[in-house]
Amino acid sequence: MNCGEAQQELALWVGQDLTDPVRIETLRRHVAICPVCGQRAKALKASLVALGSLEVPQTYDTIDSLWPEVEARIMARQSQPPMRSSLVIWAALGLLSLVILGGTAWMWRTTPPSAAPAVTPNEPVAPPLYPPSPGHQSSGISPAIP
Amino acid sequence: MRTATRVTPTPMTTDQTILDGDDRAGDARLVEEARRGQRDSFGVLVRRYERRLLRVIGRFVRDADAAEDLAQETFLRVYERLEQFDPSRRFAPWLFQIGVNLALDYHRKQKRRRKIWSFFFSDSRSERPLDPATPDPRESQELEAEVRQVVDRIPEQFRLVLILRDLEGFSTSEIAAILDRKEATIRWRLAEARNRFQEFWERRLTK
Repeated sequence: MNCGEAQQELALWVGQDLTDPVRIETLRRHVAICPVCGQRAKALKASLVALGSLEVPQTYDTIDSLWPEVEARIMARQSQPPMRSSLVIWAALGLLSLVILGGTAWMWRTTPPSAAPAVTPNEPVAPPLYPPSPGHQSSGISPAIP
Repeated sequence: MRTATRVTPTPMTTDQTILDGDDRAGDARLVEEARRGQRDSFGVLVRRYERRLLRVIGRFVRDADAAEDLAQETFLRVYERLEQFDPSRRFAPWLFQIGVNLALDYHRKQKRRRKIWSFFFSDSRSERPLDPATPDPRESQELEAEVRQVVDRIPEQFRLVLILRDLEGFSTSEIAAILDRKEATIRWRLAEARNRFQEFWERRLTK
């Protein structure tokens, strides 16, 4: 094992978080003979001791269990009148209807009216309102009314 | 707010796990009963885990009252989501996952609030108010404050693993379950967290 490999695992080794016994033994031997890694291992252990000085957070004595209050809150939530939940459902449905209506109205407004062809191919052509002037070639479409 | 006495529980040894095989089987049965409407079964689960949950939350939230509120909220959320719980998974990591997430959210909000406060009012008061109920061992408090400052400098993803492993004694596989990550990821983060803590701790001494 070289120093690079050892340094990668030292942090887990000092906290006894390496699981492979062969690896643990190899690392232990390396640390015993390598002053650099030995020093690093010492520093890591010392820092873990310092970390351990953090006090356990103060908590309530759980002779007074949280359960009575948790249970009371569960019961309070369960005993909320069903009216409220149905109101929420009706409000949601109303909102949904408004959205659908609004969306439909918006689409209707923004869609251009479809331009129907003035004359369909099979539709008989109406006779012109005015007789064509002499020399005029009929296009088959009635002239626009002035 | 309850007027319960406060105690300092005995520290947890590092080889303790949050649940053994018997608890695991018992948890599954209790969850199933609670799902069927037997509220008392959920009460057994609350009593089984409340002390430990309070300790863990207390690592992130230093106010005991807030920690208690968050623990209650955790149990409420768990109860409301029992139907979503996958029975093939363990109950305890799921419970602690919800609790840790709530505690972290609270911690982040508090941190933002403190930042805003210190921006407008440069206040030299200690961030951690002294508890009048405890004796005043100045030296250990100073050391603790220093350790806390160094821990707070570590990025959250590493700090979280460091706290759960080295202060709360969860195994790396339990932390993996709580944080919903692979164990290899947790081990890497743990090594990184310890290295960073050591580095910041030494740098503090050389200042």
